[in-house]
Amino acid sequence: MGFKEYVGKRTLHGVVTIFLAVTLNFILFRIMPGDPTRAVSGDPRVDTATRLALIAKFGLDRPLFEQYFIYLYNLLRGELGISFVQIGRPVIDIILGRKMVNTIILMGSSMFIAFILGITAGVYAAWRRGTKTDISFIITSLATYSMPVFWFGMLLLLVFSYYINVFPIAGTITPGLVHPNFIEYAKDYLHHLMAPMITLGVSFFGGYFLFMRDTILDVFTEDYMLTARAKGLTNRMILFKHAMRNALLPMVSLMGVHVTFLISGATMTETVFSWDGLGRLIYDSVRNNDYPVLQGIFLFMAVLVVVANIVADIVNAYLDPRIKEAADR
Amino acid sequence: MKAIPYSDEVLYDNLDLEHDYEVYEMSGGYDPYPSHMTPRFHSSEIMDYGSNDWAYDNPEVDALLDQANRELDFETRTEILWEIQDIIAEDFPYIPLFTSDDVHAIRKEWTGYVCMPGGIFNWYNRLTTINLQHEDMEYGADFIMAYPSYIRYYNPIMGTDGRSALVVSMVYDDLVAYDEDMNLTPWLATDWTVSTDGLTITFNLVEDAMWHDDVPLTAEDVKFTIDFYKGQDVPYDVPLMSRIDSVETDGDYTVIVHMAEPYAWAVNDFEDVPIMPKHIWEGKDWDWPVHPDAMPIGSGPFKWDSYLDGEWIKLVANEDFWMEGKPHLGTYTVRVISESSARYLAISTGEVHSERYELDTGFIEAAAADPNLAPLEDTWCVGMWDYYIAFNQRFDPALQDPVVKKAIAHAIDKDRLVEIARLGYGTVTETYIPPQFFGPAYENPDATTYEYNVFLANQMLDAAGYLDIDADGIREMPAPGEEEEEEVVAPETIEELQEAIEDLSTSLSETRGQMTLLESEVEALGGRLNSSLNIAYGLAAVALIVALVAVYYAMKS
Repeated sequence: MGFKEYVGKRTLHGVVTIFLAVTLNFILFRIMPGDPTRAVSGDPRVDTATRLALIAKFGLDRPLFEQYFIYLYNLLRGELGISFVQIGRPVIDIILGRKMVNTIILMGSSMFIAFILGITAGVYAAWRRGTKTDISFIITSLATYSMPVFWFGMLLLLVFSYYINVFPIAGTITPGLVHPNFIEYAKDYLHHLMAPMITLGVSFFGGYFLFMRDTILDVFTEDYMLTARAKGLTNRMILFKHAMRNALLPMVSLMGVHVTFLISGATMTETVFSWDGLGRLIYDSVRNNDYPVLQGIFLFMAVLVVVANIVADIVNAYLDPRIKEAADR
Repeated sequence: MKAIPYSDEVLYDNLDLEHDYEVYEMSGGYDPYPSHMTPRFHSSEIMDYGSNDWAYDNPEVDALLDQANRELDFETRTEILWEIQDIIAEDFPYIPLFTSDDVHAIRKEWTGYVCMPGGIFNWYNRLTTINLQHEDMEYGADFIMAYPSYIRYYNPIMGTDGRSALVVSMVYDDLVAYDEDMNLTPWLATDWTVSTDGLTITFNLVEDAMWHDDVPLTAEDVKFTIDFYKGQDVPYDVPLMSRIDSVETDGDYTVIVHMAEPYAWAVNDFEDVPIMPKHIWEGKDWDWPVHPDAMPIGSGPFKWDSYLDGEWIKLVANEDFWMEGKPHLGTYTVRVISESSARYLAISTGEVHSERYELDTGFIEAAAADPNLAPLEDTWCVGMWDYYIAFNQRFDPALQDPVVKKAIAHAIDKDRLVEIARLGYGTVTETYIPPQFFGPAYENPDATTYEYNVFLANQMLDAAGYLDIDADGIREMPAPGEEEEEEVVAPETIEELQEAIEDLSTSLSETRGQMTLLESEVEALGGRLNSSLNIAYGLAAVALIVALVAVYYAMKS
């Protein structure tokens, strides 16, 4: 099998996976207890007649199979539907808007910071293995890794938004403020970003640090490290040129898996800091049984995972002949 | 009996469709007038998704409800409602417990807000909207309110959820409003007359009302609004709109509504119909999202200024508002702060000035001690959410037996429930139209009520034949057809005395049982606050995990 066939096969797998995810999303949210029209009629002023009309309007009185095929048909036309909760608003507008940008910025920045700090600290701690520095790094990272992120977020909020009032308490931008230019807007946005970014950065740091430290320690046992030492290279050269470069490969794979976080967001953190992103949208939509929005978000997530994995596999196959050979067999 | 805390979703599914629960405890919710009586007790609402979810079916009550809905005279109508309540208090589909009251955290520099049943920041509390002001600034102050989530709708018809409705009530006007004692007062309509047969209602409108885009508001807009409501495929405000036959205008400022049948609450219901601008809504449908096509244009005391979808809305005072000298505020900003503790912190630092809903019970102590907040006594209003214990009337013979339900009613210490579940910020309700909420006119001095008396409860059950035959602490159903005749005989022999003592101790353990039941109910109440949140988080997590695992395995294959 040649390279082209390999790519074709992986793509076909991906399409099947997405189809499975679509089906699962459809079933999952409908077996969940609750009724989307409750969200509308939670208010005592809404009459039973109104509610029955809405149920008919949404097609929720039809058999599940029929609903499923209507959903698939609409999906093939590129139609994600209309939100049940914000009646009249297309799902695509709700998902592919400011909320997605907010989430990508928050998750991207905090993952980037955690990644850089985690790698640096991981290499350093592995090098100084068994020393007090190493142990204190491990304890710190285990603590931040296992700490509930919403609790840490609340602490930050209490300290930096209440006792010493340096960060705003909620939102992505100051309400009602008209910014004179983009720089001012960006400054205001960054000011709001700080606290949730620190919270998530700290929570991600532990994982990256521990992963990097372990990988480096593995690499240290390789023969080429002995060779490097025997060649009389400096510590710095051995550490950053040989050890870190090799240890980065599994780290990059890990980042590939984490790409979904960019979209799924961090529901807890977004809720604590009232960061208007997709994580909070998922939470609100689950609470209100907003099936179309949930299906839309989870479809995006599935597509993202599948595409990211296919790209990674193809790139790997291109770079690493061993994988291609394995596929040929 | 075992009390199980359920998430709202699971419970609602049972009430809406499955109908196989036995007893539940929940809150219903009141309108400013007793509109809940017909849906809750009329047999026509016994159906899937119906409001009469306990399946209470009494033709006599049905007839009286129909009669009350047609009776135009307040006194006569109230007497019919009293009669209905007496019958229901005898049949007892549910036991009213208490209302969860609104107690607000408001920064103390704000004045002019009005406490009315339902809360200071409720959608029908238009007095707060126009009178709220800063103590040092009669006009032009900037008020910021925290919302737990963004409004659902920009569209005034669908904006019936509490969050959207408050914003809608500030931007749009209705024909009538309520004062702090729940009496109807003029709003866009300066006055109105109802013909003696109840078939014609004439509203006279204020003459200087303008839409926010400087178009004059006339009777045509009111006629358009009613016709619009009647013409949609998804009906809103059904009880009113289905009884309206036609609408005509007489000049620019008089609207004449022709009713198909007399309807006692017609004018009340108009409080819930935001008058919409014909020049904007003509040709649109009920689900026109408004956003992002246009900012909502109303005629109310505040104009839509700017917003960021999902985060905040800024309203500015309408300087051309038809009511002289109102509103006092300069701007009214609604800001989303998702987390309740973050909202409280924001109020403490002054970053926001109050929040839409009542204080979480967890912050009541801190709020009472905070010198920067208005005293809680001043912000405490009777709540619109009425809690009750409901009995499914469909199958269980014990729950169809009034004696059992009355005994349970006697065994509930409502004051203690309020103390534990609401830290005292609740109002005990004894009747189905509690005068504490609906106003003193609904107070029936002869209403049937059930005082807290466990001894009496036990006696009633004994007398009705619900005896604990196998002494396991649970009473058994009486044998069918067996009429119980209790004869009280003074114990004469030692054996009889022993028997009497045993009876007494059974009765005492019964009392203990009732107490445990009560405690578990209180726990369930507290649990309900968290469980819906937890379950939602849990479900989201499970959904995510399952989806990821499925994707992973699919990839592997």
